Amino acid sequence: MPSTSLPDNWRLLLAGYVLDDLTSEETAQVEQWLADYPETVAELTMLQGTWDSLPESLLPQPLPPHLRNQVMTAIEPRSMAPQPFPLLTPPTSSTGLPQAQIARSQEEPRFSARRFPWGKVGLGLGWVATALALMAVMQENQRLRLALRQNEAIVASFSQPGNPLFTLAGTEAEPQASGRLLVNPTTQTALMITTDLPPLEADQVYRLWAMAEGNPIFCGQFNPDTAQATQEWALPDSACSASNVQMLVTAERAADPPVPAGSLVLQSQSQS
Amino acid sequence: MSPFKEPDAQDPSSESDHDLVARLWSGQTDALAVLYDRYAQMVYTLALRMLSNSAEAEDLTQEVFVNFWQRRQYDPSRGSVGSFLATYTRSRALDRLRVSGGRAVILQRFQRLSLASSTGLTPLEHASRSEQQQQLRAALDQLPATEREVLEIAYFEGLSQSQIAEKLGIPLGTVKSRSRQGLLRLRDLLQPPNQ
Repeated sequence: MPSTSLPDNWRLLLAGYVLDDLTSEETAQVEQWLADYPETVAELTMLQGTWDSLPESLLPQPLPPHLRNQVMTAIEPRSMAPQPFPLLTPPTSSTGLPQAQIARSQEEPRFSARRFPWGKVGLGLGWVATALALMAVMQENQRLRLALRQNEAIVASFSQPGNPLFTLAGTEAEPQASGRLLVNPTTQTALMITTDLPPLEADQVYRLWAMAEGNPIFCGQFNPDTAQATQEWALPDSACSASNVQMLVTAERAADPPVPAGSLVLQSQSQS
Repeated sequence: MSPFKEPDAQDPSSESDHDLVARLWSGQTDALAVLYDRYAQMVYTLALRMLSNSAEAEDLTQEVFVNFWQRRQYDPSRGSVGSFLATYTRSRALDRLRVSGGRAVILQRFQRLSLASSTGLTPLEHASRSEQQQQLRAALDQLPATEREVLEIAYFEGLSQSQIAEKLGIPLGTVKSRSRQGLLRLRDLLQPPNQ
């Protein structure tokens, strides 16, 4: 039962919050309720869930039969001919590295790098998930303050003795940039802290590679949105958590398959 | 008869979405094929409804699934795979339609997907998927037509309240009250409060 301090129309205002039709004063009021009254969070969840379920009310349309194969082909990098990694030293010109010769079996989809205000915070940290459930309903400045505290805690948790830590230097393509890469082999997660690595356009992304015996292993991708940015993600390959590898960052087109083709922007010390 | 495939009947493995995602992110891309079989029709249907163009809907469907695998933005603690895919599809469709005033607004709406918790607070949590769809359609049928209309325009066309008011030739206050009441009524029909 709702607290007697909530006005009678509290559910209508929550509905307005989901529909995004509130004034800034109404928004502030709702967000205060969410902080003060747990029943409002539960009800907002129900309303949001109702709104999010609307696509299921549509009469299903038949799928184009060729689409399944097209999608599965798009995600299988091993189906493409393996290419040597173009360069391990900084490029001598600003035009970047030559494009890898990769045959594309279908039209390139139009992608756009979608970035969130904070990285994938909370992998393996249970207490963060609870806080995150509230973050979506908090005001932007509250979110940023909370994210900053969480980032500090995450960096601290990653800095364990024995965990691989890489210092990345900017290449000629981005001489001012630097990075620190912390890897947690137990949770198979990476934490990338970049300084002065510029945000990329919407259709581009930075990709991390581990050089294992001359072959680049894809280790994740990110796009910083501030001069000092922290990003965290799950590692796609266990080779990414080895400590005796060279780590490289390139600038890629987001639509491209995970094979390095773009400019080298950051690199750790060579292990050869 | 359910128009959407039911995982138990159609998938040999009957693997949970959670397990499929875990396998997918450990590199087993065959898991995406199963997720595709479960959700591609919903994604494509939504994309087609919003974009009104089958080539664009195909393109968006491919983008949604490839991004799901490649960008790993889905967080299981923040909601179900179906909810994530639906919200992501809608968000990307709105981007393509270039409505609702720009990326900041779209991002904000997208972030609210986290509220559909996987711990059982969504209205349709305890029904099978086909039951959910039937319940939802039945509930929508029970809404006053004026309320249903503004909700569907807001969701599938991504128009703001003022844009809807202009489109329908009714006052902004009327749009607000119809859509808010409609959402509350729909929510109550799907799962009556205090039960």
